[in-house]
Amino acid sequence: MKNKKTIYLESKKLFLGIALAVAIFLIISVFLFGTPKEEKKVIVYVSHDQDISEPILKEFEKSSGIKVEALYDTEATKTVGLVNRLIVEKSNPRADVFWNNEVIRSILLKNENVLQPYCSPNANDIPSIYKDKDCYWTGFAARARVILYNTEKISEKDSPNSLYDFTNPKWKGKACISNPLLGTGSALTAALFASLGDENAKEFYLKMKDNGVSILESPSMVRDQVVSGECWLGSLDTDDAHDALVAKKPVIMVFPDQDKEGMGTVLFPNSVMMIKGAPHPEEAKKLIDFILTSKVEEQLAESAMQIPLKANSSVPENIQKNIKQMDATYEQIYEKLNVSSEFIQEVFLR
Amino acid sequence: MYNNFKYFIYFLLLIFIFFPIFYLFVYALFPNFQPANIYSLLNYIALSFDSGTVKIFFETILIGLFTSIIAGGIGLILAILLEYANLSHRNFFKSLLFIPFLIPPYILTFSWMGLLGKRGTFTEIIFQNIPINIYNPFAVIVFLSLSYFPIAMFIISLGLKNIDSNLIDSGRLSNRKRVVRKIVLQLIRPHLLIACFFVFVLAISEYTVASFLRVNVYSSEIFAQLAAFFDIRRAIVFSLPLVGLAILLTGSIHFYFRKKSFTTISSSSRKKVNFINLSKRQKAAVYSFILFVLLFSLLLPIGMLFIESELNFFDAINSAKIQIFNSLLASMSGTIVATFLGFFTYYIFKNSKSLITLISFPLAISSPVIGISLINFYNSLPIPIYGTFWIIVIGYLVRFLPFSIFIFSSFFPQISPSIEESAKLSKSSFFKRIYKIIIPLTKGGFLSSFIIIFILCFGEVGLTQMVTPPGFQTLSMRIETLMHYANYSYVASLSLFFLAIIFFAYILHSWVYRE
Amino acid sequence: MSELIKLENVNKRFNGKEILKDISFEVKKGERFGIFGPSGCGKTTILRIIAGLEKPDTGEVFLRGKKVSSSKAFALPEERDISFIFQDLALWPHMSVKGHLEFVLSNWICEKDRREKKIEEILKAVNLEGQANSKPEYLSGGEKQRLALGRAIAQKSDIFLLDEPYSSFDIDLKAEMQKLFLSMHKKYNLTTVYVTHDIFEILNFCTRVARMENGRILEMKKPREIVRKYFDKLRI
Repeated sequence: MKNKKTIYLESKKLFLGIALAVAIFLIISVFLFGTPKEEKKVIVYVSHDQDISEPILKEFEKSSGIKVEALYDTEATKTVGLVNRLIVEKSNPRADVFWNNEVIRSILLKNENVLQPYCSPNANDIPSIYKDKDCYWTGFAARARVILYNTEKISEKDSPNSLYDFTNPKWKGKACISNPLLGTGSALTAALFASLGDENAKEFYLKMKDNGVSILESPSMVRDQVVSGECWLGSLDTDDAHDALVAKKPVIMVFPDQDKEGMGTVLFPNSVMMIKGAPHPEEAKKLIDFILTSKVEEQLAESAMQIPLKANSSVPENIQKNIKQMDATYEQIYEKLNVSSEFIQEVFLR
Repeated sequence: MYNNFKYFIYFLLLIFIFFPIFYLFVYALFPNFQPANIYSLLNYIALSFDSGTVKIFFETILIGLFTSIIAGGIGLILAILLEYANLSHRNFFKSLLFIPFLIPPYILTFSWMGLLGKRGTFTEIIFQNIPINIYNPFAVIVFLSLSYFPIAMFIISLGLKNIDSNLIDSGRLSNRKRVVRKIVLQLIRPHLLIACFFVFVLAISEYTVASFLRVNVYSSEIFAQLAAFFDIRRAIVFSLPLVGLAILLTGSIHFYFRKKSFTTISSSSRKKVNFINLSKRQKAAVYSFILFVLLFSLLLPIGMLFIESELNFFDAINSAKIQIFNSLLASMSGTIVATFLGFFTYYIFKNSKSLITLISFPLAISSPVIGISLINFYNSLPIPIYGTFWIIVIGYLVRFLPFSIFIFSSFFPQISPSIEESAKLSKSSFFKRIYKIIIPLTKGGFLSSFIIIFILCFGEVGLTQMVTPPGFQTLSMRIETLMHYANYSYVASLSLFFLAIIFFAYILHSWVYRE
Repeated sequence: MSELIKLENVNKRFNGKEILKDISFEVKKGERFGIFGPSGCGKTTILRIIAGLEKPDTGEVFLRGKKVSSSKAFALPEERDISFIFQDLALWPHMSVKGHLEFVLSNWICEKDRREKKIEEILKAVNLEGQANSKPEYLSGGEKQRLALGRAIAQKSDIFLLDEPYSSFDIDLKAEMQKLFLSMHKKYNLTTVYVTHDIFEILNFCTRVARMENGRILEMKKPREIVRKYFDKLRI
């Protein structure tokens, strides 16, 4: 049996301990997170992978002397967090720049009156299809939708080379796609609606559903399941496929529908834009200019197999050139975002 | 003094909890603050719910219900056995059995997928490559139950600890066989109900496990409104049934308890009583049951984590030092604020059932929606809250204050009212009564609240991501990001480190609370 | 003013049931006033109304000549300066004997030395010197009673309310506790309202008794006169 005095002392110690903990944490918090000092800085929301974008932002910080405060998305909330946040913040913007990993939501933000135009001089050598005509957003370093298949399960002669292979009965129950309601999955869906037409696109998805396609939360999960062989083939983006290729996993990446009759694939450029009412506009412009340099594109090409779009950027050998793209502009794809998402949610996913 | 303090608490609740969420709901349902034609609003609400959405809603409720029954049942059996049976090493088992709650459900599910997936270890070795289909709601129920039974066990144990031994002894003398059913179970009904309620709410608002297992749940529908359609209004409308359900459930619980007496803390003896005398065979069966539960909820998943970690602990921890510190800071602050505010809120308003019910409605609102409501409200205020660390603390407060209130609601009924009345009559001040009498007697509530709220804050991702200021990242956000990069070694290492921190806090709690 | 406690036409209902009906009485300074009646007749409720732990529906309560309860005024329990020994004693399970006294005395004695001295005095008076560091769970029934009494004395109040304090005791212990309380009563010049259903207790202790039944006071007389009619009932 414990000594009565000890019990009493313990209760007292507990209380004092808690009180002390409160005081310490409050002091630390106030010290660390008190009113920020005035300094040159830029606040950037980044929807691109942190491990790839962070070194670029740090390099900008070093070369310009402008402090970068970055906010990254997690995979779970990819674009949900940041895009919704930008929309809700628009009455009192906090961010200066948004680095998006695709373009469709950039168009959404433009239409929501969240952006302000900025024509960066470094955007001159970017083809006009990859940037907004009024300079609200500028595309760079693109990803493509590709097919990744497991070479232990599928031989080269049987290799899939079209998205329509996902409706082929020989791959029944063996194919994976990322959630067509989120991220680049939804952008692909909208692109198919835009290029094939609503009815053909719906038919395609329904055939995929009948063919037992597995729907995973993200392209990275598709990659993992193809690598493990749980899925034999999967639809995902080049940067996710790149991770598996670099790790020398038993997989091959294919750009689908590249033949003469093929519909082509869709490219998702990164896009960078300035927020309307940005608290640090001059610093924002400098950051945008930096991001739109060839050096950054080449870095992204090397680290994440992202396809340079600038005429002056050199393209590594492992990146396919002259990729056939789907016949739809980004604005057309954006127009189809709602109707395609409604179909996916109400018919395909249920 | 008491009245002034009451109004101060009222003010805090209004400004931090009610107003931001209420503001968003009004803002979303009545755009531009013009009271729209009520019929068109009702029409909008009706059209938003197609038969598919309604079906998913009820399926999600069923998932929550079954999870709470299974987790509550496992928790109850374990709590009673470990409290009253003549087993050895009870404290050791109690500590081990609590650990599964520390593992975020999606990590538990992830490790189980590694065992039971199509190319899982178990599938290959034991099931001869015959795949077990874990992609169904039953698996969701099983994994959530394995994750949440410890919280049920924990809450029920604390209730059992506070039962006056005289009450049990008097039962033993009159009818030994019915003591558990007729005395113990009746006295811990508040704890059992609260525990099941917690599990239910956690289960229906958790969607990562369901998404891993490719099961559609209602929270995913709300998430989709934000993620796919950026339709905040519809996300709010979709949140309404969950809010209604939470209010209904919490109101029912309080209504049920309002006239019942669960007073067990008085001046009498509090010595522990082992009255369940098991034979050798019965003990073997109980140990087997405990081992079985531990195996599936803890040992196998942790084993998988150790294997995946490749013992990369130092590198992983080094790479996430800042995130670890941020998590500790944010979680500790959120825990302390939520616990004390929860305590005072329940103490002051315990007789006001409608207020308690209203406070509970944030339980049912999904994290992204709470995040948006906080941004919406605090972004327009001229005071530096949004954009600072404090918005995260407020977010935790909104999300987890109801848990703290409910924990205290299961402790307060055990204290005889005359204990506080005698302190009042001795002319002591309000704060002195609180500090010297009430807080020591509800020490169990404080400790439970600290540990549970800390765990919840530490593992919270959805809300944190929505409101975190630039340059601030927590450990759970970092783990999620690393999962995306398939850096499983770091994910596993950091997950194990995460568990170690919380387990340490739990051991501290057990040591202080030990009689 | 010689009456310390006065109730005028106090009524109280709980859940639609009438608990007290038109209760009026006075207790003079130094009196040991008993309230006697069967269980459930409202005795405890009267004590709680005097202490401010319940509000009367109608009627008024005066303490020391001042109105403390009425339709317009209500003084909180902590403002009434009353000592109350509850039926379940309401001892604080986490505090030692000394801790109980310290808690109460610290409200009106600031100096630690004076407080310690007073604690010693009270412990001696209630015969708990050897148990100063013990918690209630380690005390016998009689010791707990003495602690409750000591705590009440520490409040330095002149009004004591006792709610069936010795109902669970054997005769010897009862006699011992009554003797102790009587000596405290005289020493500290107390005024007591004593609730019980035990006729021997009112005989031994009270100077005047109100007999209650179904929420009403039926008569107020000296103890012997009240209990006389029960002697026949008790004769076997």
